[in-house]
Amino acid sequence: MMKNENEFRITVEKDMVGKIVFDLEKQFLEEARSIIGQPVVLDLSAVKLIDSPGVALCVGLFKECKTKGSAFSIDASPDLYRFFKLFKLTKVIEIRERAAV
Amino acid sequence: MASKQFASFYIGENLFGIDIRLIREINRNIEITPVDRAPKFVRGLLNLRGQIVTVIDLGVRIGLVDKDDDRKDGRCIVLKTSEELSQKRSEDPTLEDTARDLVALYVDDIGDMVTIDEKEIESPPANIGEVEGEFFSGVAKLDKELLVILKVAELLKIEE
Amino acid sequence: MNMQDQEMLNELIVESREHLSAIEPDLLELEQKGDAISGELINRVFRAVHSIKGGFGFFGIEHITKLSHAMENVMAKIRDKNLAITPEVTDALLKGVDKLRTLLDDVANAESIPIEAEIAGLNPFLDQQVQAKTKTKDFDKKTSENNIETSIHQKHPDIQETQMIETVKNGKHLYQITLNSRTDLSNKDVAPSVLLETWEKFGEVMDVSFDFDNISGILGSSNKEIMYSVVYSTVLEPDLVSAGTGIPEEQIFTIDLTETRDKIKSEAAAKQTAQSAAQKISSSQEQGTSTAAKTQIKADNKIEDALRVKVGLLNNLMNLAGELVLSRNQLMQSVNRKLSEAVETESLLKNVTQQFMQSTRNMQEASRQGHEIVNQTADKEIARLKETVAQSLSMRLMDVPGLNSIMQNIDMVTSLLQESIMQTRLQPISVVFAKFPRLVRDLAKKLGKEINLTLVGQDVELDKSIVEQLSDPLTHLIRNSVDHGVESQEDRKKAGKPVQGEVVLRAFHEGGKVHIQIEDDGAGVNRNRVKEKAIEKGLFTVDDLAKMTDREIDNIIMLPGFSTAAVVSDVSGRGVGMDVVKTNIERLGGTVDIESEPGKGTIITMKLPLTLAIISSLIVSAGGRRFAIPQVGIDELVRIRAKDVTKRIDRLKNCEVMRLRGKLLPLVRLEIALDMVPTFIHPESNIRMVDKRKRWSDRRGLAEDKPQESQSNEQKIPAGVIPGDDRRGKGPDRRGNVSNAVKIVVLKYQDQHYGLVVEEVYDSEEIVVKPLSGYLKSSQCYAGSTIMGDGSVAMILDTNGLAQLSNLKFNDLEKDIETEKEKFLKDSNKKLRELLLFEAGENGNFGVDLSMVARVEKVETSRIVNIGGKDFLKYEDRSMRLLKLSDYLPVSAATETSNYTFVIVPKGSNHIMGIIANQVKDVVKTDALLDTSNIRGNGILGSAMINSALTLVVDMKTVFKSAEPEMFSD
Repeated sequence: MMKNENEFRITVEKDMVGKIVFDLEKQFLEEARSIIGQPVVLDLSAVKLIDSPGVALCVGLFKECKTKGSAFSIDASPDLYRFFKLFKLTKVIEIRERAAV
Repeated sequence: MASKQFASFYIGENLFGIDIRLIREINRNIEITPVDRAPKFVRGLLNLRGQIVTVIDLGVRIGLVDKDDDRKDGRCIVLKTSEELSQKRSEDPTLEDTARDLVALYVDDIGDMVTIDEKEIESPPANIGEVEGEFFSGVAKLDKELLVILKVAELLKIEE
Repeated sequence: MNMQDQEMLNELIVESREHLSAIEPDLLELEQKGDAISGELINRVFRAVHSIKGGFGFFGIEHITKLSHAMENVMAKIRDKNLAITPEVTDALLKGVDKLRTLLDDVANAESIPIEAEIAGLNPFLDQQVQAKTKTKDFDKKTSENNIETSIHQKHPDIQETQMIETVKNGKHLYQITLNSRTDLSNKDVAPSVLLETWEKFGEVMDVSFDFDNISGILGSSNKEIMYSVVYSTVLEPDLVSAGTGIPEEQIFTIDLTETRDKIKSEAAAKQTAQSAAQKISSSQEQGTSTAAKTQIKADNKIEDALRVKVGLLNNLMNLAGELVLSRNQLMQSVNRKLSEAVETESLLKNVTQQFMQSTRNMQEASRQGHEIVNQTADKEIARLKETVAQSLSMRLMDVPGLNSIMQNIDMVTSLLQESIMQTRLQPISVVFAKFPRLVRDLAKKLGKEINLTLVGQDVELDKSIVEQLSDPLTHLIRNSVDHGVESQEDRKKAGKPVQGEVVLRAFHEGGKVHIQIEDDGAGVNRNRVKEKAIEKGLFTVDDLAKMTDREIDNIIMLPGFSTAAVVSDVSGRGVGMDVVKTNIERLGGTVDIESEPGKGTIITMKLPLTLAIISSLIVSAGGRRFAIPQVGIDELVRIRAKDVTKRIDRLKNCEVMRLRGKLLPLVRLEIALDMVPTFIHPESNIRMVDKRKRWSDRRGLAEDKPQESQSNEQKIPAGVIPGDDRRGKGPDRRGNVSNAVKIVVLKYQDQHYGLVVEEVYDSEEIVVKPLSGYLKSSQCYAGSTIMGDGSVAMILDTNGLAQLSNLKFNDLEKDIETEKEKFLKDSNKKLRELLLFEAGENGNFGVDLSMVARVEKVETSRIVNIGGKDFLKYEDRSMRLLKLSDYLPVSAATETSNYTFVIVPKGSNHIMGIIANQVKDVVKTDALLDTSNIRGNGILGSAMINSALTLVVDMKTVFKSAEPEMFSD
């Protein structure tokens, strides 16, 4: 995929577990206001662990983008990628395997 | 933002232009095989590295020259196919469509590439000389000459 | 919709289409086997429908989701044995499949395509109560187990049967475990991945799915309760799983693997039988093919190791391979040239060496008289020089070691590459065959027949373009077999046949072609009816039919305008007949043949080429341009020597015709058909010039053309690419010029033939067909284009189009002959003409009505005296005036004189005049028609082919009249 200057990148630095997820939900809601049509990338390349609410939040963001007509994709760390693949999210969401630099 | 690039070329003394994004390559000195019973404006077929290209004689197509004239040494502007352009067209719906077949336009000579502000493009006159305006989408004044912008989709239409 | 989604959607559509085409045969099998059906088959259909539903659910395409959901529900009832399989159920499901297909074809507008009818068709089955179900003791347990299986396949359509088999084989158990995101994960502070990791210690997590339909956006998503469903294969026994996984027992279900176990057993057994069957195959061929077919169906179910490739990409590869072939040819040519240059250099070198030796000897001779040292030095120098020259020259030869073998390698690899790329375009014929079981079922039902369709050889591969175009003709033929071939149930009973009719659709390779057969065990072709109809339609006469073989009569069905169905039925009689099938197949370069045995059945055989992309074709030229004619359409090549042209080629009305083995063949001159300016190559200047003659059978009159006059009409046209020595020059001296022969390619056109006159015939070549440019379709005479070995473009001729363009009318031709004959008979008022045939002038064949001849005298030439430019013979004491026909008719005068001459003495002219003949040949009775369209000269009644020579029939009276007008004034 070509690097797109218009793309809207949301980066998560910490593992998506426990309370962090609820904070992230608020943060996402805030950021989602400026999503209109441009491709959105959720950068999880630094995330090693995700819990069930975390997964649900990713799906929530995906659905949000869908209704706003934005393409949605995830850059996932190898660990997360394996997990997403097992959960077959890769069939629904474009997920790339990417290790954090 | 609102400027466009055109490839310009000559038929006789007349300068014409088409959107540069439609062009795949420009060739000269390629042997064109004439085809009997073909429409008048089809100059023939050429072999472009194993692909067959239908060469449309632009001058004849727009009614500027007769078929049986002795023009030689022209250039072939090979256009991208409709399929090749489909992605670009989805990004920019104003981009003209071309043909399914691989088509080249036969012109007398190639001019410069020109960048024109869209504001400077005027609507075309109903006819230019003896030629009806159906194939023209606009005109632009250059330093010394007038550039007539062609409706490529109209030129490439196949009449049944 | 953005691009990425679009791409996913496209993938999904392709996938779903594949699912649908798999569902159809399964549904038909379900219907056939009824309740005896295996659960696996039901599950397969279930899974397919489910994944369509799921996939489109993501995209929010409701109509597809709704319809597949309804179908899924019906399938669930069938699987749970709550609904019996009846033709009505399968009907409703098949209709659903059809509608899904329509929806997939136009996904963008899916929501506006009505699905109510299909859903309404399915709904009654959902309301239907359990039918005739005996409740056993463990019924409750069974249903609950069934329900578990429902959920495993519903939630885990990706679980492969192989995975289940693997589990059984490893002695493991399979569980479906439901995880609640709150109680099992969040409350315990475990991430799903961590939990599953601990499970992996005791077994394998095969599949995880979760339902996130209830998540619609970011807000509140992280707090939603999600149910995960995990398929877990483990060594843990059922009573230990809960402890091992930490999940409450009520959320764990054991998946019943009894069926899988049974399957493994039966498959092992089947393998054995298959092996023993394979050994028996040779005993009966038919047996063999059907066994093979069954194994194939099995093999088809396996997932093939294949990639989906865009057709555009393949076409690109084809083009590149074609280009590579060209470059290879050029490379070979230039290398060969270099090699032969090197060989030349070598012989030059030998020469040089000899020269050196000579000079050495000379110098030795010279220096013998001088100093010894000079001699030695010269020797040394010369030897050194010699060596240098030799080395430097021969080095060139060895420039590239092993060049030859490298070239051979490139040559071979290129050919193989091209061949392999061609093969990528091949598709199994099953793509077309697949739709016929459904078609036959529906048709048979409609017609109240019972028909079993067997498909054989589904893996036979054909070029994609051929496979695509086979669908229509095959559908037509299958319809015919079901409708007209197989008899009604009653008729079959009467004939002592089983009620169930058999139709076999078979594909196999033979003789480098793909054969497709449609065989039925019906009544066969009703030949009497065919004959009646053929006569009625005026296609043949009673006599014609009497001469024809049974097979020929069967094949009349395929003639244009023939349709046997006594009643035009809704099924087959839609105005398109077998002739359309034939035309379509022939367009693909194939043939169709009907073979039938009354009362036993009919076999229709089609033979098709493997690929359309490369065809064998004949290269010809006209007007200096080269053209390719597909070999399949060519019957033979005929070459008429210049001196035979007038005998063999003639004009009938506006059409030029050729006599070929007693038949008249209409001719088309390629130059004229293509509207080219007729040209010839001038013998002296070697420049192509415009030929002003209208037709080339005009040779007789050409001597009269004055060269200067015609010269002014000639335009110079460069001779073009063909190094032609073909000169259509002028004057009688051209006769016998070999290159001036007329070259005719005899082509098939429907059931007739015609001759295409070309300038030159070259070799036969394998050419790569390039599709015809859209701008050239209107010219109607091309089938495509190709690139020749030298890189130039040549057009491929559409020989049918050419015939149509030239307005060839074959039936009229025969009719023309009839009317001409009638006219002649009326004119002459005689049924048969008795003609005296003789030769006069230079090779001129003439005939006179025998009834007008008093006698023929053989006289010594010396007895003829010439007085005042007129010949006289003393005959019965009178002077008889003798006429040379060459003086009055367009024939050249005789160049040789022999000692004897014949004189034809007419009746009733008091012997005052006679005609000189070189030779009297024969007296014949003939009803040959006289062609009067081509008469040039007073005194000729017409021309006719008699004893295979063009003969001019002379009216003696007119000739005499033109010789001595005053003597014969009426």
